[in-house]
Amino acid sequence: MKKKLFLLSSILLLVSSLLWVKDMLEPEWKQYQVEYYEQQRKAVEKKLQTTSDEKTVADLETKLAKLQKPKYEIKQILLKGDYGWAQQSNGQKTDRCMTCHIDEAKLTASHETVVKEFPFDIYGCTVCHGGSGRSLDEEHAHHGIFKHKRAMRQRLDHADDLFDMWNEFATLSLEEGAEWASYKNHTITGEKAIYMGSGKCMRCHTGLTAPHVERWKRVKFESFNVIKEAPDYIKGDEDYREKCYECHTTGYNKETGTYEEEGITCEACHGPGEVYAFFMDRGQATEGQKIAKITPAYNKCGGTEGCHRSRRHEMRVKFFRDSKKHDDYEWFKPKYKRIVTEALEEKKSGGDEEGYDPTAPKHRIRFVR
Amino acid sequence: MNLILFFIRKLTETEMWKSVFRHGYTDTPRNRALQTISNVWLHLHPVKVPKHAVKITYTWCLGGLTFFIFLFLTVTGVLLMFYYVPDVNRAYADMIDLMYVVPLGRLLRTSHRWAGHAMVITVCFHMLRVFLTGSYKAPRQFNWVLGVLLLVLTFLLSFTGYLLPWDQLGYWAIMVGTNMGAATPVMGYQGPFADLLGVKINNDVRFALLGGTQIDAPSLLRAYVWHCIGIPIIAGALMILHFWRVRKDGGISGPL
Repeated sequence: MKKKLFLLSSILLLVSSLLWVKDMLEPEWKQYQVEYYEQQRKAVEKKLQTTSDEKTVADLETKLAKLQKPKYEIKQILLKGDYGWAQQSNGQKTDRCMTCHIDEAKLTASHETVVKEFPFDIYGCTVCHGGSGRSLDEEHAHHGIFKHKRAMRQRLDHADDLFDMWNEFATLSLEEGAEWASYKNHTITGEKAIYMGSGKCMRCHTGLTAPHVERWKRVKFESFNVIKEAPDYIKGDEDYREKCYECHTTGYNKETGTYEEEGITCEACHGPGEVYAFFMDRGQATEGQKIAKITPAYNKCGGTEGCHRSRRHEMRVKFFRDSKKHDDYEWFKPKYKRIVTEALEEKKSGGDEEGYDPTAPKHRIRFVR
Repeated sequence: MNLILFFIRKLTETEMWKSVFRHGYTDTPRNRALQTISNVWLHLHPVKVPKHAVKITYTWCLGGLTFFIFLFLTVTGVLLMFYYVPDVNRAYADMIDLMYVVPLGRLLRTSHRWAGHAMVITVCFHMLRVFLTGSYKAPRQFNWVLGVLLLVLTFLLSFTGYLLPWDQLGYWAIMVGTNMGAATPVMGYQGPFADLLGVKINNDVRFALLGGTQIDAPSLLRAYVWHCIGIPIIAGALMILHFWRVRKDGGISGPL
């Protein structure tokens, strides 16, 4: 009996030791790398059979030689930034996801919309996807993960979830002086946030915050329509007009040269309304408020990026100086301003005495569409 | 067997052997005892083992198992110290790295953890066995007291080790544990009679354990130093005393 027990326990010890050795030699992540290199090797071999060009053949052969003896190893991205205890984090951040998710071409293809702005080797994976970047087994690494866009959107419980992500983007960014508000145009999936259009805002905000909304609706919303009548705009080519779009449209994209809406509408200052509208539709007005209110930190008005910086309109001066046809008074005192001046002058001359009506609105501004 | 003995006899009778070893070893009970007593390693073992001591089902070797696990924990613990830094900014990351990147690190960490659990279990069973066989009775009363102290130290080792991974489990376990300390009579600021001695949140036993009024960097460092240096040294010293008393109080306990 004792001998049998001893034998049994010895066998158990041996088996468990062997399991440990196997676990060390064949970690879970290795099978993914084996599969990947196998696939790559087959693809190169297939290519080799079809090509006849000498130089490509030589290139492919060196590639094949490498792939035939692949090095299976842990791959990691050491991420920038301070992730200390004070930041409620656990030290230097490291993403080891690509140890298993090794096919970079495939990843680039599936991350088409974000990879250009957030390259994998700088921003890593966990900033958007969550999970435990240091871990190398699926169960632990995928704990609390946001696998796809739907899961990432479900993460949006509070505005702070989004702010935390922007903050992390700013921490990881290599750009000097990057701050969280620089990522204001990104939604929780890391993609560019969608502009909902002022029509969506107006569905609720027509009666609300009336002085602000009414003022902007009458003046700045129409700013693009005013521009459309400007002789230099009409005459200018698309290159010239781009300068106008930059300030007088909403959601202008420098790269594509497109804009989302004409005129300086709500989202020009308050940022794209995707997440804001999401919270408002869900009845979380306080969360939406947080997002819409971050504008002052952004300094949209002046500074180097804003619209109201001096000599913005210098290019126009040249146009009006060169053309004898237009009076520069006409365009540096825009139409609505002229109406005001004219009205004041009229009042000064005393011609309005008889037609005075105390109930009539004090101003006589008429906006030209 | 005879063949081996024959060769040994042949060897010891050669001229060369005799020139190196001047005289042989006469196999007498006294010589055997002397050999054991005069050797630093062998003297740890008793010169004579009573017949009942060989019967394993009396003691179940529980004290020995506990000591063996303690030695195992010391070795694995020292190895872990090569990789683990008790810094709040690194501790958790170091633990995860041990699990996934360090070769055999997972075996090292998990075996240390399981051995820790096992030591608590074996020490409890050891105590139960001593109690059930009445081995705490005269002349072994003092050794029982030493045993109780060692039990407490084992629990403290387990408790301080709990915080070191710096994960949620450990953090909240220490939170609960130290808050219990805060409710201790006289010593804890929430306990009864605390006011008599002027015990406040910043000078009670909880403060001493945490190195502050909340769990933070000093708490981790305190747990680490107590876990790796303080308690093992005290426990080791008490174990020496414990084993020495086992011998002096009439050897390993046996059936009456």
